[in-house]
Amino acid sequence: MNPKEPPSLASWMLLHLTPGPCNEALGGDLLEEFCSGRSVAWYWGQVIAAIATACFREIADHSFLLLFAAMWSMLAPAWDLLIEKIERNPTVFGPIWNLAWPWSTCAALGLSLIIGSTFIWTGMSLYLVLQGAITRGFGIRRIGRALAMSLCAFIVVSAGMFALSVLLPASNHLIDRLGFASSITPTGPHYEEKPNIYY
Amino acid sequence: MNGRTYLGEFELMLLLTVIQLGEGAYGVPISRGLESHRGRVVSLSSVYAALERLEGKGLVVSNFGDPTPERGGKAKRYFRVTKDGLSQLNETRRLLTQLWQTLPQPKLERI
Repeated sequence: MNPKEPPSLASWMLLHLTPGPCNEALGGDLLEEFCSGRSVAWYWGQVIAAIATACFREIADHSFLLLFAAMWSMLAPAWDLLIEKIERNPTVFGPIWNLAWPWSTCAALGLSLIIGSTFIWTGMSLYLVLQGAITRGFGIRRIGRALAMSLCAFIVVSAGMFALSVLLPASNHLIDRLGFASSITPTGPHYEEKPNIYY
Repeated sequence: MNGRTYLGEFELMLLLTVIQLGEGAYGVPISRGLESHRGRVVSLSSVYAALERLEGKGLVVSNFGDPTPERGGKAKRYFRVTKDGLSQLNETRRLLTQLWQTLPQPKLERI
């Protein structure tokens, strides 16, 4: 039995997981073949192959970017350690930790945003310089969009990590390395924990 | 090295199929043609990926036809081999023929 309509999930996956100009033509070809008697299994096989091909092409097209991102991410622990060292300096961060809630929360969030975006934007700037030297340059609008997108992604990931740390106390160490998790919860002990850090 | 590149097996078969189909060379007949000659299932996405690679090299060009209701309102993408594509094909054929001719007859019979 060959139903008239192809599997809707497979069609949705084909539409949303295969970028590029061939998407429409490929979708039409698959539908044409399916209507001419191909099986559901064949349709699924073609869709999975199309997604795999699209993923492979995306990776191949952005191999330099992926390599650079992986290498830059390796520096994140070193960056964390550096920030932690600076953070322990009472003259720099002492006043922030001594603020009353909610100002301590706002300050901690702002600080984490600045620290995180500095690391990400430094990496991006370095990549743009390298990429610009290898191929063509980037337009200002494109750079601005990339910086804004990276900041949004960082905020979303940070919020997700924080939510995870609240839901799963065992994972607190993931984001508490900068000492924010305890300081941004209004009920939790915030700067009481700090003395053993910077005194 | 003179910088000249030769076509791979799949690319060669694709270009020949596109030429054979002429005006009606789009995804479905191309993949069916390849399937019948190779004797195994060909994924349409790999056909498109290879054709786009060839298009990037300037060996084929493509254009979209009108959307049709039997294809869910999606247009067909027609492919055509360019002059560069034809000369690349001829060059590959010349090279392959030359290589075959260098083989002595007894060796050919054993193949």
